[in-house]
Amino acid sequence: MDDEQLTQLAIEAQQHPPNSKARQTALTRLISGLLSSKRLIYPSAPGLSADRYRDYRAEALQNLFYYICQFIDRYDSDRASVVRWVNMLLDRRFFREVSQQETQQNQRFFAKSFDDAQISLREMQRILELERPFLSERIYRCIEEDIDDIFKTDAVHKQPQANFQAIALRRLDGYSWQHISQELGVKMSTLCGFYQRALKKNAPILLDSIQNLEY
Amino acid sequence: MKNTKNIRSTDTNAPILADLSFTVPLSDSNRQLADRFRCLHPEAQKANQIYRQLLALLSVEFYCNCMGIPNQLEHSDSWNFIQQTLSDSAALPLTNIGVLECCLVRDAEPIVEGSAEAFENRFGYIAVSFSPSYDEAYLVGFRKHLSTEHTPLSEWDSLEMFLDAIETATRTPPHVQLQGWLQHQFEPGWKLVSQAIESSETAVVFRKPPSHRGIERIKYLEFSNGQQIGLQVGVYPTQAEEIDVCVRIVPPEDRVLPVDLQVSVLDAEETIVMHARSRETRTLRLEFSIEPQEVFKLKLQHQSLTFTEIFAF
Repeated sequence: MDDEQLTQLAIEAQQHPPNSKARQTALTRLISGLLSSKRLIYPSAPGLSADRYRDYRAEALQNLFYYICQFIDRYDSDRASVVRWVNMLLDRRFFREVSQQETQQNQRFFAKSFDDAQISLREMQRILELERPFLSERIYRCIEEDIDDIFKTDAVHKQPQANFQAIALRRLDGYSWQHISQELGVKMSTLCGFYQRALKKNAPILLDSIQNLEY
Repeated sequence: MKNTKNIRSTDTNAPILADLSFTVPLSDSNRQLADRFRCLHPEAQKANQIYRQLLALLSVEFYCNCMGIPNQLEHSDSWNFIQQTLSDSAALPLTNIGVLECCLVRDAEPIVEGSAEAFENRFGYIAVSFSPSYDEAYLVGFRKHLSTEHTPLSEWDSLEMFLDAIETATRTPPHVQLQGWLQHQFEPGWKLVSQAIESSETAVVFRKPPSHRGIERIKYLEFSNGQQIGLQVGVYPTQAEEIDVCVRIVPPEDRVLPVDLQVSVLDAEETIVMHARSRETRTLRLEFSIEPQEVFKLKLQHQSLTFTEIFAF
């Protein structure tokens, strides 16, 4: 795609209201076109290692693309081609911003995963640092032991053999849904639907019991 | 319409641009985040799957953010390592729309992996592939439905169909979220049921008292001919995962309902599940149970006038 085609896509996006399918389609084509055109610049950054440079540029591109999608109306096609506008933004704004600030967003999801059970990240790290058994082995053992008889009694309606314990252990052992469905005599869609719901329900219980597991 | 042109070149996973697809430049912090979860899983194959799924999830979130499609990445079950371990699904909740499954394209061949656990209760499926060093992710396909664990990428539609589906989904009126009701979050227009109606209702209508208290709310509707009625919905949690729902159509104050008012309950496929019609009656009442993720529609009809409200649990 050349400069002219890319500029046309930007103009097309501007002609349709935000969140309309026509604008979304034009923006999708524009972003993919910008990347594949290889016309996006590499801002100069003396003293930066190659690895770091690549990371900064990728981060800057993410922010840049998000900006383009949000603020395409700020582009003035009378003044420059869209490639020039975008490169100006990349050079003067987004690359500089990234290289001047360290991002900390990673922490949020890692911590979130344990929030529900109110385990502190510190506690989690302690569990993770124990070399053996691995978390997945702890999960396996907790389901297998089922000290409160929760997992083996949570079953497909009127099919006690198709219980959460039986399904989860087979899944962990690597059996396919097809195999488990045949073995337990329950339709695959019924089995999967039940398992999805049961997993959501039992995940907090499991989280609780893997911490209390004694070795 | 199936897209057959989406065949990728042999030397790279990057898609050919004839069809609508999207490229996400993955950052180092994206990879680091996925890597921290990868380390939790000892088995190489599973660990690798988690790594790729989380990058796919982040890529699809990025695309949705760019397109202005509201989503709740932080509510994805994929951040929960118990669910990571025990499930093969990776899904992004789209606000008020549904759950979007992220499917991985194999590295060596254009085959898309789908989890049988995700064949139902999904808004749709996005196929994601990666460059060899994971510095780019490619959103290369969309399907509204999926029913096999391995599908050739050539049987997937382009992202245009995704944008189409989003447009259709956001055009229909928003769902009333009954799950929110249980947490005392109500959509505008749903008011407390006044004591007066409540007591006379109970006396007249209830054959058996509800086993335990639930949440009841009423919305007043006005047909274009000025006729007013109240649509009263009660939700009652049960021991199981399902909830009982009681729908009552009540007239304002002491009057009776207009003759020949009809109320229907429809499921997500628009099939009528229950139906009632008024004849000089004081109220119409329908009771049923619904399961999590279930969607139902209430349709009121009076002569040529129709009113529809969609509920989700």
